[in-house]
Amino acid sequence: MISRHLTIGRFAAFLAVSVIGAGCAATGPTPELVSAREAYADAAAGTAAKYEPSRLLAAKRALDEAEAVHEDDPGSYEEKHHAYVALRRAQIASTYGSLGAARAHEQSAERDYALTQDKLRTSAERGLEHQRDITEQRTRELEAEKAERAKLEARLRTALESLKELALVKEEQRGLVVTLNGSVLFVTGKAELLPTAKERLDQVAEALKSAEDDQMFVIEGHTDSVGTDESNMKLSKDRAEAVRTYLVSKGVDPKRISAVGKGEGTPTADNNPPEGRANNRRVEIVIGPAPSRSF
Amino acid sequence: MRSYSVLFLVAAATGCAGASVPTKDVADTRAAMRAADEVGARAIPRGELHLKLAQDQLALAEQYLKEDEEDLAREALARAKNDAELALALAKEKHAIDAANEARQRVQQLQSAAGTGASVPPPPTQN
Repeated sequence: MISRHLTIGRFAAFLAVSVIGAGCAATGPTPELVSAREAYADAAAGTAAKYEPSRLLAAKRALDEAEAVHEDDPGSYEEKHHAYVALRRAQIASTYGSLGAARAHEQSAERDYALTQDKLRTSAERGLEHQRDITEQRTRELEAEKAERAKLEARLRTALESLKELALVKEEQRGLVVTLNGSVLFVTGKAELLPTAKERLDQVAEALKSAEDDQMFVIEGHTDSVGTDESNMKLSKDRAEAVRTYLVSKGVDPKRISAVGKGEGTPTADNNPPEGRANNRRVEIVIGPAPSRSF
Repeated sequence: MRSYSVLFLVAAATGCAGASVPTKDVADTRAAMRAADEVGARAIPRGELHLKLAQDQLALAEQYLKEDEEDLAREALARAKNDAELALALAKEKHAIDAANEARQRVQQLQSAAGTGASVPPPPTQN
């Protein structure tokens, strides 16, 4: 019995139990039991109920045991011992509950990671697919453009081939130059088109209409050296203008065609012999080169 | 009549087990303390505290055994074992929380690398 009292004293010292608490409230719960009740209430309200119901149940049983001892022998050593165990069981349940919640959190994060990875992969694949579609679309457009260009070039070449029978077609630095002899186009000394000229100019108009949309045309009027410079300049300008007006009336875009008079300044032959002068009286239609395109 | 049979059973159990039951309890308690230590309970303040309490209770139990106070020894061992189990639980909880935080951080890094502003739940913390 003495030994028992001694050991109780040791345990009391270890637990640092308030002697006042135990002494004053003989029928009230010990501080250990109060702590155990609080710890169990915390555990039951926390994550233990969800993740660790069996440990929570063990904590409840330990607390019930402590409560029963309290009923039988309030403030006793046995009550303190059972309350101590109940307190730990509640803390263990609570800690394992928190552990379960952390593991659930980790699993949720891993699912989020996998989902984010999937989203990124899908988004990257879609991006690539979109890029591929754009490239394919551009390639198709370029091919169509190239084909259209080739078609127009072929049409222009065919039209120019037919012109070769009535006019001189030459490729120069400034573009394709179609030269029509003045004597077949105009009444001598005038800017009035001959009926036969119209037939030829109809073909020229067809050729110009088949040229590319961005090609420009310049009608140049030229004379021989007979007459004054001023009169020749005026005649060449009027003749170029007459050709331009006719070509526009046949459907050539007026914005793409201009007329200039060059007078006698740019002969192609000697003005002394009559043949030379006849060659110098002419109208040149310059088909400018198409602006280069970048592919 | 019933209380007599309970007494008989307790007496029989005590008689059969003899001194071997506290010895086994001591071994179990030491095993629980070792497990807590190995999992890293000493690295956490609360884990270290409960290991210390377990150690003290074990020393107390050993003293009781020397004094042939078997029941008191058994109770001290129960307290020691519960402290050791709590230290182990705290260490495991710490690892689980660290792992959860790392996993969440990886998600955040991936999301920020991808430029998505998805909402992220707060990380768990140890009590």
